Parts: sequence; structure tokens; C-alpha cells
Amino acid sequence: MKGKTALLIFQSLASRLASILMASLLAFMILESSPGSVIDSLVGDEASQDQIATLERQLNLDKPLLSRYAEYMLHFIQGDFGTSLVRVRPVVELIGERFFNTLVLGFLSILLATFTGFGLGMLSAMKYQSWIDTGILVTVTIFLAVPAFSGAILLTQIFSINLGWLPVVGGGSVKHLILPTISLTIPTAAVISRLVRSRMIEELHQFYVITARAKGLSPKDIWQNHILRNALVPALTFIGIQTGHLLGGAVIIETLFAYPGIGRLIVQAVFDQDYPVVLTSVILIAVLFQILNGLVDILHRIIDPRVGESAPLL
Amino acid sequence: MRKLFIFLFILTIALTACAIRPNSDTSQVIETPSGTTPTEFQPTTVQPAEDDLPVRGGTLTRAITSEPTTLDPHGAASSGQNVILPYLLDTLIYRDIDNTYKPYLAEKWTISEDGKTITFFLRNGVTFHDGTPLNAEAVRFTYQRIMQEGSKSPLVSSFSNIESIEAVGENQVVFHLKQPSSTLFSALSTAYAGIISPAAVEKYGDSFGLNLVGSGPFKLENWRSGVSISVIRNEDYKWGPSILKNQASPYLERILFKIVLDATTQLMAFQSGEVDVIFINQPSHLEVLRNDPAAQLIETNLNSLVYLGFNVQAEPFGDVRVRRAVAQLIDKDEIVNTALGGTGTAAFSPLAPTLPGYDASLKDSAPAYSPEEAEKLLLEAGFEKSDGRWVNKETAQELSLEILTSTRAPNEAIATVIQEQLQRAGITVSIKLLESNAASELAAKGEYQTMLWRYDWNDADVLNVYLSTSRIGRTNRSFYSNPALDEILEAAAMEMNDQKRNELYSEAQKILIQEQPWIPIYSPKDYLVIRNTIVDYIVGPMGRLVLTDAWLKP
Repeated sequence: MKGKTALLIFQSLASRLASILMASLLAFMILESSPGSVIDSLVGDEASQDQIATLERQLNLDKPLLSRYAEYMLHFIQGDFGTSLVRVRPVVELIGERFFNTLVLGFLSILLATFTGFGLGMLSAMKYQSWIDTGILVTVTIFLAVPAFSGAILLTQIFSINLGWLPVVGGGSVKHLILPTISLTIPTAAVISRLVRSRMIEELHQFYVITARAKGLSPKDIWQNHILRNALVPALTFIGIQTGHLLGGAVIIETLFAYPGIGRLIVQAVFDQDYPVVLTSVILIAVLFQILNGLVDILHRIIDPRVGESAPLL
Repeated sequence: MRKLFIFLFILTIALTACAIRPNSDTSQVIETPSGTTPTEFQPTTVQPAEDDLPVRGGTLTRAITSEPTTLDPHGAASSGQNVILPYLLDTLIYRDIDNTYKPYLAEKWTISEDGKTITFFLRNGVTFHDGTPLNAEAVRFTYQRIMQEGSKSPLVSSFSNIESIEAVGENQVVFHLKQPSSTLFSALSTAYAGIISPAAVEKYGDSFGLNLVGSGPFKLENWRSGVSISVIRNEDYKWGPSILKNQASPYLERILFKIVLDATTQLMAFQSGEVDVIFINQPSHLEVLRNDPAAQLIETNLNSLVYLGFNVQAEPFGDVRVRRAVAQLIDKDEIVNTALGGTGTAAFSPLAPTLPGYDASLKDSAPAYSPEEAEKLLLEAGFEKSDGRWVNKETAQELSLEILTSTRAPNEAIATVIQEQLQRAGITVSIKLLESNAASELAAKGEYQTMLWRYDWNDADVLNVYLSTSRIGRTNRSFYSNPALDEILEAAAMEMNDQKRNELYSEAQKILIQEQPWIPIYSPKDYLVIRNTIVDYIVGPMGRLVLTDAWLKP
């Protein structure tokens, strides 16, 4: 049995590593085959052919595509992430602080969204078809329908311009975090609360709940140990995926609040066709995504032991 | 309780509607006279209301739309870099608002009889921020660096006319030119030609762009990647251009450039007081700020033109009659009024009205909006109308065109109005909207029929750059070739006499208005928004905000 588990873990790790590699290769190929070139970002319209050719040589752009990718990955494995082709800084320096900022923003909002989402969803389900349920449902639907950016503009209008409490732009302090966090939390919390509500209502009518009630279990026991537990699984999957998205950078929110996160950096790097920055970021995010996925899988097993029998480990 | 929820529900909807309004509100028409002939550009100097004395100290915050990739003036150019560099670097000469050149680092200069040798005499006692002297050798070093292989400087092609540069003694710099040049001075007055410290270039090597050392009124203080760049007052400064009131160290202690990509966010940051200076080019934003008592709106002079350029190699647009017909089907006033809310002036000349050499008297000779005349021209060019569409009589091919443009606002709105106007007349139009690097690449390869484009240029030589035969394959994306025009433009680039030069450009405009390789659409109006606590600033050519005289009202 032990050997089998080890094999399973190995298989799973290998497949996760392969998807990270595939992600980087795909990102590179798409980037390089899209129109425009990094040269356009370096020199203007006025550049002469000589100037362009010299730059291409300097940046190794005259080498074949795959050999450039292979060369970059070889350096990457050895811990050398290279230098941005456009910005003069090393990639590590560019990504480092930005990535940390995004992590803070992403985790804060996912945490907040999980708590409010679960809270509202459970309340809604427990007060099913009462005015509380209707009220929550209507509010949540409105928040779902409002695009993140207009919600963000509304918040800024109230808290920054009218009240003058919070700054509009920048990063680096707690005050700068509040508005972007709330803007990101609202739509995520809305989805979670709807997921939780509908799953719990579904479970409410299952036979095992009736049995539990017949056994004389207290309503608190039934809600906590039976219904909530079963409703957790789909919500958890969503939270896992959503966290991945948020870590990949909430580009719109980062742009609106001029928040120095990684999303904005990646978008700019894609426009510039600055492949060292794009590749390093893509790999970093892919690794995090895989870790999160693994964590969600493990949590699934803990919550619902039946999962373990069919799904691969990690 | 149920009522409370209904109330909250309505409140939320109402607030949401309010929030979306400033963003989507582009249909409003601003009441400014349009279609009038452009007036001569007036220098904008703002005087304080009372005769108070300048106060020292304080930070001015300005939003920039893009983070510079580097501050090295010979590295990749960007709009953010262009905004910041003039505070950090001094140039040999200063370009005044009337496009004349004034002494700056050079006290005076002489031009030889044949126009091929220019000698600049530098002022004494100028030092870089690192304490090393700014002498003739430093000037030579700076310009040599622009001309060396692999340079990314936007001035490379302007400098290609330079044979050699020589430093004579401590304060004489001699330019030896291949041809006399009337464009060199405008190149030398841009911040890209600012003088840099040779010692610092050697010291920092590849990271010079992060540690720029010049001799300007401000020194680089701090660069927080993705957030801001700050510059701090140079206490030793005493060599400002003589036309400024203050040649010494600036009154402001610091300028903080905040990186804010989104235009709406910039507007909100101004309203909340976090930013003192923003640049706007959207009609809806202008409308919001017109009612803001804290905002001074200053029209900038970027010498820009938006035009619809033909690829004359794409048939049937090689035929001047077809180009003129299309021009006569475009109602430029309607574009300015609907797509731009009046923030622009309909154009007829390929030169921006604020550029020296622009000839306003040519307006009557330009093809005006007239569907009837366009119809005649198309019939002459071998087209006939069937089922309301124009069809080539020989090939039976329908007349249609594609507009290539970039996603930058307000390109899409303009292209849509043109599409509507041409389709009304029976020409099918499709719009190809691409991210700007991608659009540029297609344009450079000539894989397009028409392109909706904008230039901002500081010299009438722009016609040479975009429409002369020698630039085909590079900047001449129209593939337009006209030997008569080439001759005129070449002569103008070498003509040192302003009046003669203007006459030559007038000739060039006549040809281009006749031939219409470009249909000039309008010259845009852009604004600098400056908080009313800031006084005594100067807005120079190309929207440059000079802050050596400026101070903050307490």
C-alpha cells in the first residue's frame, strides 16, 4: 500500500510539473507569434534598419524561437531569471515586490470573501424563503451584476472624493489596501454565498437529513456536521480556483487603483513582448496554482473521505 | 423592514448608475466654437492674482500614464520619460513658446557661412548633480553616445547629418555637419538631447538609466518600481535659461510623479487631492473638470494631427481621384462635434496648425465636404453606382476600404463616424482595431488600406519623415513617392532662413492637399489640468511644464 501511495504522489507531481512546463512553453509561443516585437517598445518609428538589426543581435532575437526558449529555461532552472529586455532591471527585482503586493491583496480579499460568502450563504439557507433570504439574494444578485470596475469607481467616489477618507492611487500602506480589497471581495463573496446557499438547500431535502432528524439530532448538529460539510466541497473548489485567479493579478482593479501588483506588470510585459518577465511570472503563477490545487485536493479528502477512493493523490 | 430593503435596493441601483455615468458619458457636446479657423497659439504664463512673493518648499504631484522603462535619455523613449527628463537635464538651447531658440547651457552660438559648422559657447561654472563639471567634453561625450551603434535614442536619425563633434578647450563645442540643417536646433532643444554626466555613465554602466545624473533644476531622488518617481530640488542650481524669472534653485522642494495608468483614475486622484497635475484628452473628463473650481485647464500645444492615411499601393487608392473622393465624403466638422464633443479643430493641411510653416491661406484650395463632387470624381475614376454601392466598371469589384487604427481613445469613435459617413455614400467600410504595437507592425509592412493615425511632432520636417521617398520602408507607411515633393522637403530641411523655409513648406502643403495621400481629419486639443494652488508655471511647446519659477500657494 505504501509503495502504491508513493507512486501516486510521484505521478501527480510529474503531471503537475509537466503542466507548468506546458504553460510556460505556450505562453512563450503565443507571445512570440503575436504581431509586434520587443524592438517596437525599444525604439520609435524613426529607427533605421541598422539600428534595429544591431538591437536584434544584442538581444539574441536573431536566434531561432525554440533555442531561445530552451536557453532561457536552462538559466531559469539554475536560478537565473534574466533581465527584462525593456526595463533595465533584473526580473527578480521587478517581480519580487509586485508579487508580494498581489499576494497580500489576493489573500486578504479571498479570506474576507470566504467569511462573508459563507456567512451570508448559510444565513440565507437557514432562513430559506424568509425576507432575510430574499434580501440577501437580491443584494447578492446586484453585486454579481455590477462589474468590478464600476463598483470600484463607486467606492472611490464615496470614500475618496466625497468623504476624503481613503486614497485613490498607490500602494504600500494599509489605507491603500482597503478599497482594492473590498472591490475584489464583493463579487467573489457574492458567488460563494450563492454556491453555499444552493448546495445547503439541496442537502436540506436529502434522505440522510431526514434520517438524522428522525434520530433526534439537534438542528445545530445537523447543520454543522451534515449539511455544511457537504456544501463545503463545491465552494472549496471555487475558492481554490478563484485564489489562483487573484494571485495571477487582478489586472483591472490594480489598474484602477494604480496598485503596484503583478497583474499590471504582466500586461505591460506582454504588450512590450518582454519574454523574460512574462515567462518568469507565468511559471511563478503556474507553480502557485498547482500548489493551491494540491491543497484543495487534500482538503477535499479530509472533508469527504469518499473522494480519496477515486481521485489521484495530491 | 421589507420597505427598508426596497429602499436599499433602489439606493444601490441609483448609486450604481451614478458611478457609471462619468465613464460612459461621451455623448455630451461641449459648447466650444468648432469649425473656426485656428487662432495663433498664445503663450500661457499664469500670473499670481496678487503681487505676492514666491514661497519656498512643498511637493507637487503629477500623474504619469506610463512608467518609464529607463530614464537614460538614450534608452527606450516613453511618454513618462519625456515628462520627467526636462527637470533632470539641461539642454544647450531653450525652445521658447514662439519656437525661437534662447540661450541655456550655451551662452551663444555661431553658424558658419555655408551652414555646415555650428559652434556653441558654453557658460562657465555648471556642474552635474555628482559634482563633476559640465564642460565641452561632457557635451561631446553625450552626443557621441547618441550616435554610437545600437543607440536607442529617438534622435539617431536627426543626428545622422552630423559628420563629427569636436570639443575645443573647456567651453567650445563645434558641430561639423554633412549638410546645412534647419532641424538640428529643434532636436537639440528636446530633453532627449540633455547633457549627462560622463563620470556617472562610467560609474553605473548598465544601470545608468536608474541612476540618471544630469545638471537640471531637480535631481533624481527615488524610484519606486510601479508606484512613483520623485525628484528633489538641486540646491546648487544657478544656470536656468535667461528667459525665466528664476535662474536659481527652484522654489518647489520636490516633484512626485505617480504612475497611474487609467485616465479615469487620474481624474479621481485629482478630485480627491492626491495629484496636482494631470493630462487629459477625453471630452467627458474635460466636462467634469470645467466645473471644478480647483482646476486650471491649460490647452497644450503638442503640434498634433489626426489623419486618415492611404496606402497608395493598395488599389484603387493609388488613384488621386479616389483619394479625393473619399476626402470629400468625410464631414470633418461632424467628427469633431460628435466623436470629440468639440475638443478639436477640423484640419485641411498635413501640418499641425501650431507648427511653423503651416499655411492657413490654403484652406480654400482643400477638398471640402461635398458628396456631389465626390460622385463626379468616382464616375471619372471608372466607378458606377449599382444598388447604392460603388462598383468598378471593369473589374466589377465593389469599392470598400478598411480603416486600421489602434485601441487608443478616441480612435474607435472617430473611425466609427467615418465608417458611417462613407457607408451613407455607398462605400463599405470595416474597422480593424489593434493594440498599438500590432497596428504599427501591420502599417509598417503596408498590410492595410487606410490608417487612422496621430502624430505629435515638434517640427514641420514631419512631412519629410512620413511622406518622403527616402523614408519608404521605414516611417513612410503610405508608400507615397513624389520627386517634386522630395525636392522641396529636402531644400526646406537645409534652409536656414525662416521665411524661405516657410515658403517651401507652403509649396509642400499645396502638393499634399492636392494629392491627399493623407486626409487630415482634425488637430486635437489636449489639456493640462493644474491645481489652482500652483502659480507661476510656464507651459512651453510640446506641452512641457516648466516649474523652475513655480511655487505653491500656502
